[in-house]
Amino acid sequence: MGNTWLAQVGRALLLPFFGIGRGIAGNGEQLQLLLTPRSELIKENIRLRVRVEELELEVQRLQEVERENRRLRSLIGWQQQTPWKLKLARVIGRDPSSWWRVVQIDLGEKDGVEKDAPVLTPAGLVGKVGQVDKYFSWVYLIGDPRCRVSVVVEEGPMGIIQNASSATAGIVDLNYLPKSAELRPGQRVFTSGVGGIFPKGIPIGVVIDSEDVELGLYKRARVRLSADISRLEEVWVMIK
Amino acid sequence: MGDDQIKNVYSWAIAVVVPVVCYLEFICELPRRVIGIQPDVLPAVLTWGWLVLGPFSITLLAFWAALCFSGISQNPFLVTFLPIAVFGLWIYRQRGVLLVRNSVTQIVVSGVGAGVVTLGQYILLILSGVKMDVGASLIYQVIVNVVFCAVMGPIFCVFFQYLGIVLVPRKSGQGSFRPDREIRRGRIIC
Repeated sequence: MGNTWLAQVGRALLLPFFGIGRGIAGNGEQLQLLLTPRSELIKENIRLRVRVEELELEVQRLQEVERENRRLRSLIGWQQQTPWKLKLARVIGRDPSSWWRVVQIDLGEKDGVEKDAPVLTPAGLVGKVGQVDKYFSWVYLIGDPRCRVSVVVEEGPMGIIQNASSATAGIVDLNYLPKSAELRPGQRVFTSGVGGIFPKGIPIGVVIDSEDVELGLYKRARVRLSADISRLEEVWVMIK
Repeated sequence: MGDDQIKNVYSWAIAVVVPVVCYLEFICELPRRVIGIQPDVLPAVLTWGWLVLGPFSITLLAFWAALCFSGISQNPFLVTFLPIAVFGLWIYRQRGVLLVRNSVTQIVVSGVGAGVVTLGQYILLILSGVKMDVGASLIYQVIVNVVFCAVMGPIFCVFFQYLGIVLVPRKSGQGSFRPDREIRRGRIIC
């Protein structure tokens, strides 16, 4: 859907607008840089240097943990996890129809992006790559009917997030929880790793409330997403 | 001749505005941050075309709008095209009872058009097998689209009318001079 030749013609028609838009945005950023006082830039530079050093130490620690993890996995005969690389993408625009929760990013086939690649922000998962063109891709956000995520509630059961529960972005339905599940508001929700698309342990959000549905056959909970998907400007795409 | 010329100007003007509006809907985040969703104002842009153009132009503009919209949306082409074209042609058939230059008519046509187009797209998506929720979010989307288009429709109509006045040279009217009533000096020679 949305990838027919007619859609491609439509995209080609709008390419000049994308070019103009990118040019204006670039000039705006340049202007902002020119207008920022030098003292402010020096302060920020010092702050970022400190942060880089902190992160370098953190990376060293995590590399050690990864080495240990790999060694332990090989000791107990578990399969090694596929290493993922992250690539930063800029959000170009968003599908105007409210029933699709889709954004377009400026990475495509030429950057190594593949269909179904997980997309996240530092706050948590935002969705997966749905369609890939040569120079850009469409990301199906959590809440879009085509982005189903198998998740696990902290100290609780597994369920499936399949669509948004309200007109406003940021709240989604967590379905198919066992009726015996005891859920408390504030419990954290992570990807379960089941399904093979999303790696295990990526934060999704927190439980707001829950209710029995389908005559008490199973439970449904509302989850507030950690990542603010209504204000996405830059996202990270996982590339194999 | 003049009528055809002005209709051509309207068609071209609408055709130019459509991709601009599509692109703005694609990149503009402000409405989404304020009201939660992006209103679709394409019906408002097309209202003037529905009210004054012929069936061929209405269909062609619907095709063009759907083509541009397909470039920024996951909606299949036909899902966008059919409601716009069908409603436009229906308005064309009702034109005999509509005061096309009246603001109230433009508000009603634009608002109703927005509602019909949004609901039509939704129904077509469900018929094409997409699992969609029919609930509060749909009603909210319809209301927002209707309100925005009802407000924007007359504004676009005035804009296109103005373009027509500016871009089409008017034929000068006949003067009061009549050669048979010219007063000639001197004797009348029979």
